[in-house]
Amino acid sequence: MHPPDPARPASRTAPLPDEDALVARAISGDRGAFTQLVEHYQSACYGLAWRLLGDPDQAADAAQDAFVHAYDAIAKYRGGLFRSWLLRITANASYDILRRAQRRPTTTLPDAEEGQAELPDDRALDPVAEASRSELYRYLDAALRRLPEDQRTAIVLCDVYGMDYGEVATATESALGTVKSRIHRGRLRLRELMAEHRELFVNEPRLNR
Amino acid sequence: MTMPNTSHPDDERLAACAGGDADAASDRALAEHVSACDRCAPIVDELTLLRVALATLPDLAPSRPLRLIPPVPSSAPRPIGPLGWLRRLAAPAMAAGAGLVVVGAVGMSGVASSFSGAAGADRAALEAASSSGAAAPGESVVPAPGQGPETHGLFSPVMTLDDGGRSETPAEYGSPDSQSASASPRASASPGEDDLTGFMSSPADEQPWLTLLIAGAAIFGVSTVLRFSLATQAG
Repeated sequence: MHPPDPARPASRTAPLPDEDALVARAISGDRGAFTQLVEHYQSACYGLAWRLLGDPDQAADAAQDAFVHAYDAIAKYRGGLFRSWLLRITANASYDILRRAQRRPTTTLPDAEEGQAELPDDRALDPVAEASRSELYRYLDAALRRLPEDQRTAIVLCDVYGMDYGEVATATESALGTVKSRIHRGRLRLRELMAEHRELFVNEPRLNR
Repeated sequence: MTMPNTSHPDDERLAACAGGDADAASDRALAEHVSACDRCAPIVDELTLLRVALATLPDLAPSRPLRLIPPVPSSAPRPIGPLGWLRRLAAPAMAAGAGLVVVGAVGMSGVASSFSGAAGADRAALEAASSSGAAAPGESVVPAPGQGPETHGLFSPVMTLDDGGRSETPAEYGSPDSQSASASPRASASPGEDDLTGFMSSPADEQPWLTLLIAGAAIFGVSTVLRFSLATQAG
C-alpha cells in the first residue's frame, strides 16, 4: 500500500477560508474578489469540462465560458457552496459545447470501445500534475473516456461531481428515468472496464480510510 | 449466507444499490437479497468502491492559462439615458443650425441683390419724373432725385407697406390704419417709387430668411453648449 504522497495535489479544491466574504464582495461587483474565487476553482471547472468533453481545448473554452456566465450571474447567486454553483455553470457550458459538437459530424469524443481501460496518450493534462496522480485515477479517467457519451456525461455529473439525478436530468435535458438508466448502465460498464485493475482500489489510500 | 439464487435482481438494479438512488435505498427486499447473496453482494461492493473512487477523482490543472474574468467592456455600448440621447443629437443639431444660418444668409443676400438691382432701374425713372416737373400727388415732400431709394437699406423701415397706403399703391399693399402708425418720415408719391415699393422686397419677404437665420443661430448655439457641457460631464 502506497503511503500518502504529500506532494500530491489535493483531490478536490477545498473552499477558501474567507470564501463567504469574497463571494459577498464579488456579488457587489468586486472584480478582484471574483477573480480570486474563479482562480481558486479553475482546476475543478477545467477537470469537469475535460471529463465531459474529452478534449483539452474544448475543456478550456468551456471553463472560460463558464467564468463569463458566472460573472454575469453572480448577482443572482443565492448561497450554497460556491464550488457547486460554479460547477453547475461549467456543466451547462460544457454541455452546450457538446451539443454544438454533436451537430457537427466531426466530433473529437471517442466512442465506447470494447476491452479494458488503457492509459491514454494524454496531452490534455499538465505533465507534472499528471505524474503525481495515482495510477487508479489515471485508469479511471481512461475508463470514463471509453463510456458511451450519454453514460459518461451522467456518471461524471452524478458520481464524480455529486449532482443528484434531478440535477443531471436538468443539465442534460433528459427524463429522470433515462438519467437513472444511464448512470446504472454506466457504472456496470465502468466495472467491466476496470476489471483488470481491481488491485488499484485496494492500493489507493483515499479509498481505504 | 448462500441462498437459492433463482431470482437475482438485474444488474442495473444492483448498480442502483451503489448509491444515489432513493428508490433502491428504500427497497428493503433488495437490500436483504444483496446482503445475503454471494453473487450480488460482491458486485454491489465493487460498484460502491468504484463510486467512491469516482467521487474522489482529483481536480485537473488546465493545460493552458485560462481567462478568468471577462475584459472590462470599455468599448461596449453603455445604456443610453436621456442625457446620452441629447449628446447624440447635439452634433446633428449643430449641423442643422449651421445649415439654417447659411440658408438664411444666402436667402437674405439674394433679397438684397434683387433690391439693389431694382433700385438702380427706378432711380432713373425718378430722375426722369423730377426733371419733367411732374409732382407726385400727396402731402409729402418729394425727395430729392436719387435720395429716396438710397435711403432704402436692407432693413430700412421705409420699405413698409405704409408707403403704398399713402400713395396710389394698390390697396392690398397696405391698409388705411397703417398710415397713422407709420413712423416713416418719408412719404413718396412718385409713381416710380410706388412701383419700386411694390417690386422691392418688403419685410414680409425678408422675414422668413431672417427667421431662418436667427433660428439656425439659436439651434447652433444651444446644441454647441449642450454638446460640450455633456461631453465634459461624461468625460
